[in-house]
Amino acid sequence: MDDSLALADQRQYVIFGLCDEEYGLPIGRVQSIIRYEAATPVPHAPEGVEGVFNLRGQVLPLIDLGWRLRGEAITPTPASRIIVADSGLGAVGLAVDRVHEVASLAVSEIRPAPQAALASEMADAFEGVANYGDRLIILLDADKALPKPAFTSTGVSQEADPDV
Amino acid sequence: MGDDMSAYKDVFLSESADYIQAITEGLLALESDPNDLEPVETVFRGAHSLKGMAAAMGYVRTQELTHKMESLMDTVRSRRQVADHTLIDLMLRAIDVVRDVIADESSGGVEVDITEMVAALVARTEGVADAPVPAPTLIERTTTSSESEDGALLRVRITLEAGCVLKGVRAYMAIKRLSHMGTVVETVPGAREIEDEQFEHSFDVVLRTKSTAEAVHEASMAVTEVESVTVEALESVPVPVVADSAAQPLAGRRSRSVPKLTETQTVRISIGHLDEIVNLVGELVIVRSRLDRIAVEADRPDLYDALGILERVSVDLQQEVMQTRMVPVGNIFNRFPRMVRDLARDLGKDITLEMGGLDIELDRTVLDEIGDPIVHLLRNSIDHGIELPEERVAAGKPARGTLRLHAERERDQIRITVADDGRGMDVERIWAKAVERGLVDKSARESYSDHDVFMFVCQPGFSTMEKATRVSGRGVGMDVVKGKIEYLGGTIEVSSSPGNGMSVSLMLPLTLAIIQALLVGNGDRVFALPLSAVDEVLPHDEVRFSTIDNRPVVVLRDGTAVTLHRLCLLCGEMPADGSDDPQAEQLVLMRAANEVRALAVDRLIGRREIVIKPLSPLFRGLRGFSGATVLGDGRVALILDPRTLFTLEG
Repeated sequence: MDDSLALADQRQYVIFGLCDEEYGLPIGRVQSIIRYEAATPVPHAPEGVEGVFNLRGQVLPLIDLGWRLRGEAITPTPASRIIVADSGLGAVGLAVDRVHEVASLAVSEIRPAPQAALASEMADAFEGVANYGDRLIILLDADKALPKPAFTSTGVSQEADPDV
Repeated sequence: MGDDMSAYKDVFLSESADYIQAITEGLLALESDPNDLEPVETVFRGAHSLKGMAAAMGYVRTQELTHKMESLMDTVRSRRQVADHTLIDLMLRAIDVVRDVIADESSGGVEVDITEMVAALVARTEGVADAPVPAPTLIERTTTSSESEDGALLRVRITLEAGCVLKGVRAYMAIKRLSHMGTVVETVPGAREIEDEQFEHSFDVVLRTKSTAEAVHEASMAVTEVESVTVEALESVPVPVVADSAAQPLAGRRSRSVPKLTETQTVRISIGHLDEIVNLVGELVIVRSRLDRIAVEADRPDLYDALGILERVSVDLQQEVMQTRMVPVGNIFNRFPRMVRDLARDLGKDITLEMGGLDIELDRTVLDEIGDPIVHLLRNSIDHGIELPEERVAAGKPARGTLRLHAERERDQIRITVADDGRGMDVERIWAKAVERGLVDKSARESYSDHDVFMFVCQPGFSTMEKATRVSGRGVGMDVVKGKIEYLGGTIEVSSSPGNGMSVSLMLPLTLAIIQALLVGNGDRVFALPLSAVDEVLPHDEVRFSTIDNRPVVVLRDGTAVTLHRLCLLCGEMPADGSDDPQAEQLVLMRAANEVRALAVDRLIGRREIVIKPLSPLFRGLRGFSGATVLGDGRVALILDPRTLFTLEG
């Protein structure tokens, strides 16, 4: 295969792990990766939002990606990391079990994810799957995988204004 | 090259806006007193300056139009005609066209046609012109700057240390510091010479101030590398003569600054840069408090000393930076006289607008947001509040209505009041409407104060119905006004009595970026309470705990009962120690939305200055919290929102 052609058709992903599965997030969305730290809880926040944390003076929301993608909150360990990513609504922190490396994947090797294998409500969030070495990587569509303010689950605050 | 031109264009646009404002103000002043030649001069010179600037930019239509305006004003200036209402109208319409044509030409457009307006201006000019039109030369006028000032006149001689390296800078700092205490009348040598370090080691500052000589001495000595200061009172008061430059259309508005320094040292800076500086200073404050903690833990006296200096410098820096963001409310008030005049004329009403507190300063971000709410309130008063002249006379009032717009400082807030002497509102009619609309139960009247009842006009939809039935026709868009003010962290107060007009006060925070807060602890978590909402911390031995209708209350010294809320419950948590006893907790008396409540917290941590960080849009719609801040140890504390916090209790 021609080298330059191969490069043009490569995409780079940050490969991270949630429980025993491996995921990839397009590197263009990733601002930095920091060690996991507990967030300040925000009462009545949407489910899956752990709270807020301080990144060099900025206050960012921390989203438990394990809860969001798999329905299981992550258990912090020394390997846990926060991926700071651009959500389209400002930066957010994504809590994950571990971060491995940045991988280049050939576009031609990306295959659609088998629909039946995905939890239905998050199915949109997956762009496809690819083999990397002997691992199967689930690739995320950043726009759909990162939360939007529309999702509120605790019933707080969406009712009509009760102020008088 | 292209960048250069666009930089010039930005300067042109911002300066031309100043001139347009100055001309408008001049025309309105002239209308109220056609014999006053000073506004004539302002308008004439404003048009002349615009003409020159437009020529430099190659904006030929702007140049031609302002030239014709200048010629017309020259006939007034040379007393060949009187500035009557029709002339003022014509000039005001002309300045509207100037605004349009500048927008057009600066964006490369060719759409605005000036021929009609030019013809009208020429017709009005030539209708009288017999005498030769004198060349439009600028006349240097002199004014005294002592008019609006009072206090004693002091000569302050400041001597810098012999080894002082940055003499000009030190001198500038000293003069700047003195300018905060009064008005710097003059410096010897002049400001430019001082700036260029053309003095040995000492210089004189003549200061008009209400402060004592001792205070002035102390303030001057506090400047680094000042060796000695002598202060003497000047007995005979020289009348300082300051050239009133044509290049300063806003002259007189900010009389406390040094005339010469401001001319040479004023820069226009984008608000984006200032925001960035405020953010950086905010971070500096955070780092400083983090260092404070480390110093306490390490117990290092030398570190304390260094931190003491850092603290002083960072406090000064923060104040200076916040000061740069402060803008006099006059900057937005100044467009209202024209609006009031036009609207009153359209409606056939005779209205005087009185404005006060124009030099009260407010953070730029707050100021930008309150223009529209104030317009709403003024329009309401003109449209619905103030009656037609004949109605007013019939009611025994002067035919001319008065509309007052006033700003004043109250603690760490600004009160902006719009008041009229119109027909006012009848509290009982509003109550009846509220009952009719099903907003309240008829029997509940005594539990609502008159103020509470007036606040119903801020209910969405309430206003339109009012207007349709012409009960009082009040409250157009009042819900919008209330929403905007609350978004800014402010409150609104309405009062009125039938026949005697109406008054609406907007209470606004001075600034949005940094606030004083009381830090409170709940379990191992820390929350910040804005100090502006805290009335006091209640000692347990001065209150009694009780219940009313099974709801917990606290009975205060004076016997009033206020509802008791527990922070842990508001945050959806169980009490830290598992107990259910608010008496073990600290009590904070809070005032929000005109209601006083007691908040029980685990512990009080102390009063801090905090930098407000907005919460992510992900939390949009979240009630109870208005933002977050970073504590000295790097942790994040949520800022409690007193207005929505208590709605969390289920």
